[in-house]
Amino acid sequence: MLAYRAGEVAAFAALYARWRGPVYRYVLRQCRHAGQVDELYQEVFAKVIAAAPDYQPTARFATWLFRIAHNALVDHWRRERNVPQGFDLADDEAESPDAELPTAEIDWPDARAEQQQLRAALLAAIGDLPEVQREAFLLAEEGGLALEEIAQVTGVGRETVKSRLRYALGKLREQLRGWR
Amino acid sequence: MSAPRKLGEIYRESGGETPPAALDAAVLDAARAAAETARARPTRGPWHRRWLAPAGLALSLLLGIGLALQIRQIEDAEEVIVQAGAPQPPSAAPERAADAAIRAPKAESAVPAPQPASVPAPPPPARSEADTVPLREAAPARAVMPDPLAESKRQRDGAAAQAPSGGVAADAAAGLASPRSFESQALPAPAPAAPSAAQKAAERATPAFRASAVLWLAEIRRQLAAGQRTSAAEELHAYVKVHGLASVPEELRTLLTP
Repeated sequence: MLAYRAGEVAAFAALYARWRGPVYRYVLRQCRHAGQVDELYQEVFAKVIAAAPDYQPTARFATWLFRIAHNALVDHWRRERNVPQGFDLADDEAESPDAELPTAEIDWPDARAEQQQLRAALLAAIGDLPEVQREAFLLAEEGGLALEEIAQVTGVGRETVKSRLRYALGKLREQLRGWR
Repeated sequence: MSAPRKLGEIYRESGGETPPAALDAAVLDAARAAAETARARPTRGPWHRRWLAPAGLALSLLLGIGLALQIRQIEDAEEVIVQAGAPQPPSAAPERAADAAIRAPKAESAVPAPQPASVPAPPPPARSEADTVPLREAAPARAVMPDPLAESKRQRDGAAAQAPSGGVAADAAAGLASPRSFESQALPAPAPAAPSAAQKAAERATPAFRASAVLWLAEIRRQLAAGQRTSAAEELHAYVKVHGLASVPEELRTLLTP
């Protein structure tokens, strides 16, 4: 990003190639209207380009990028006057710091056809998650962000992120129980 | 986070959606356009550099306005003193003496000192230091900075001096009124015809002296009290030529009658 800030368009192209998929999927899974995904995705990168001159490497690039994506999503929901529950609340589901994330040791089916169905079921289960939990899961999976980084992106405490992730994993496990 | 990884493995295998090629092209075009615009635009410095010029301009304006107001206040104050002839507070005399003492060497360097022979007779014993020093010392000190208002008076006085007159009173009037307050002291002038009276009058014919009618009247009163009635009458005649009869107090008007 620093290279792009200095005027190297190729640097941006490399960065874009690395993050286009994760950001697109983050937006795709969070946006309720399929027709607005492309517009929202473009808006995210327009903001990235606009913010490039002032970019300071104070955090990991992924954290900065998904923070922009998160804000664009919240702005989108505000424009729609339909902000999901939990996005305007901070530390809503905080729990004790000692609570551990669930271990999801599941015997996944080996058959190729079954795996295909399992993937579809997982995507459906992710779509059924509450937005805040889904976002925590997507930021962890697509962005590769740690709990602290997800907390920075979403503007809530680490324990809240941990709680959301814990609930998300619990619900996904529950949804995929029939596939054991 | 072993559980998310397990789930994550399935998740990563499941999706893989990517933006359409048209969207990629639009984003990359926007990035290229922004880079070109930034290249064409002059580099933005830090915020303090961007604000340096406006801040400097504002500061200069502020200083200029402050200076102008200060100068105007000083001019107004001088005008009030000259026009109203307001009596000075009792503490003004020592202050003026100190002021004159400080400025005297500077003034002397700019103005040629009068000839020792032409210095007037020493003051009578009744004179106090506070009475004499301000009147005599302030004159050359003030002569360094001529007053515009006093300049017009000086011209008036010059006309009075050219009028034919005779006698001691006329000489004193001529001495007081002659335009030697600033210019004549700045240039070495020929020796005056009547050294003591003219020199004394020249000392008093400075803008500072004439500016204060009150001080002049006080000097006349002092001379009268010291028994120097003739000298006081001469002074009063000179005073009338400068300030007019209207400002002469009743008790001094008897001096004007022969």
